[in-house]
Amino acid sequence: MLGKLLKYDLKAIYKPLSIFYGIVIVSMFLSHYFDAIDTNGFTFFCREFFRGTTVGFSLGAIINNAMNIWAYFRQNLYGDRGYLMNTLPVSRNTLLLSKFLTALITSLTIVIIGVIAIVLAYGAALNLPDFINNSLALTFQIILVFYLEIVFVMQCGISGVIIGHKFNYNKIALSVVFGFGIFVIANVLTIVLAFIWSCFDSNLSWLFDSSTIIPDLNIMQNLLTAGAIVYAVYIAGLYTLNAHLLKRGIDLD
Amino acid sequence: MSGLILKDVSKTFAGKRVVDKISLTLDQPGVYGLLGTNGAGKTTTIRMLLGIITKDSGEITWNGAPVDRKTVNFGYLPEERGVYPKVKIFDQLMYFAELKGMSRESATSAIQKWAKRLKVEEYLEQPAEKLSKGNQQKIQFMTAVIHDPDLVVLDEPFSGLDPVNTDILKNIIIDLVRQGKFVIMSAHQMATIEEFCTDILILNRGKAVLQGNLKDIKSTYPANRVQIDTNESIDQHLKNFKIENSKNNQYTLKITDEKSAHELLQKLVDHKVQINKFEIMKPTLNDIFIEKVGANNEIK
Repeated sequence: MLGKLLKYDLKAIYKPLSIFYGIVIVSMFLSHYFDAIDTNGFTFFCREFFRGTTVGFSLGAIINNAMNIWAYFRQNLYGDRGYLMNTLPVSRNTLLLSKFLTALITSLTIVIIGVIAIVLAYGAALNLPDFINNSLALTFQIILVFYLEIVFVMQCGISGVIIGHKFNYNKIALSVVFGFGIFVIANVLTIVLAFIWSCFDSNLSWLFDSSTIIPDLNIMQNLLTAGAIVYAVYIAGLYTLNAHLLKRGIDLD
Repeated sequence: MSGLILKDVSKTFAGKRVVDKISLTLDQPGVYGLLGTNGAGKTTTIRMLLGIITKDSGEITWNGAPVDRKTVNFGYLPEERGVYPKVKIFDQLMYFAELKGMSRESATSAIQKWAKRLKVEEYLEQPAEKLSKGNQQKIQFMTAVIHDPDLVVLDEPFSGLDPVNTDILKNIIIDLVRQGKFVIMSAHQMATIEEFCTDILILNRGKAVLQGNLKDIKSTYPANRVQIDTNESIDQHLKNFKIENSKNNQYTLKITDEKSAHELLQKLVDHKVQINKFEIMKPTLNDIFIEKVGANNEIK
């Protein structure tokens, strides 16, 4: 049943996203095309314009994806559709898992397409291919942390919807406050953890002391690994919290 | 024990007990009617039964085991609209059918069968928002029964339907019972409940005020009306009766006991009045409802 549910959830989320993907890919090719031909006033403008749309719509896709997943989750479980969704022979955990996997998959494709598009659009100008070749592991880690942060933000939103609904039916503002609150609390906690770590490891003192020199690549990589672990723990924690809250039932008004 | 049993089920919202120790038993196929005023607890009872909201206490079992939507094959027609306005009817029916465990082939065949029966074949390729309220209700009904559920819960099933479509739906519900389905129906049309339901539960402010077999309930109430159809005016013989309705020599009278009705019949016969119909009637469900719940409450 998870497979069928996932198929429909992905279809619903990818439908609006496909517009963003289309614009990103077309913009990427056009910026690449204008970059390859002689630069004059018009082609320069076109290249910069399409570079801008590549980046803009890549970021737009991330925001659109998050908003769609939150809205879709809310409609499915708490809106009018909730009366039918909540009587399907599918456990709430499966409903939640399907939405979680949808967030993982759609975010992954956005990050992959976005990174490829930006590398191709800006590659020549910023020597991005060289950077990637020279620091492949670091690049991968940066992308991984960025990806996990997107998923984490989505989980914050889902938790916000669930907790907000428990406190006040159908008041979206309360869901937004709870979602944002969870995001802020988690980030403050991350900073506190990093600060505690820096007290025991002098290599990390630069994080909280602007007079010290930024460390070498290895320390950056360690920090990114730690960041990835922290985000993964947060995501798992929020998923467990969401599953626990949903298990208690959904009070549709 | 087979069937559905609710035992002492309660629910409190924000300190207010909206369902208070409700019990009911459906041990054989049939239609069970839930009646009550606004806020009486009907919808909350239905939602606890379906597992949409959690109960605070009590037991809900299906064939002896706790109700779980993975093990009980439910069909639910909510009072609210649950159709997707922008999505084609066929696609959303397929969506729910597949998520209810049907294969694409069997779902397609079931959609065609039900669409034909409910006369909505021509709307299958249209989005729901283009359909009338009545047709949307029929589509919603299809989502409730398409997967051949064992237990069908219908919350205001005739809402928005014209008389022709009401009749179609009534016949389908009768067929569902013939096929051995258990149906729980909440409706505010007393005549509908009276027509369908073998058993009823009347709720008032979260408490059960009357429940049981409808025939048995009615048999405990004395006759309170007489309907008479004659070929001439009989007003002069009805001075001691309260006339509820009179039109074209058809009368509905209130009576206090059956004896007074028999005396009236004798009187009419003695006066050689040609009587086409003389029927001593038991109180209607509406009468019983008003007596139990109070005439001041709005019926819903």
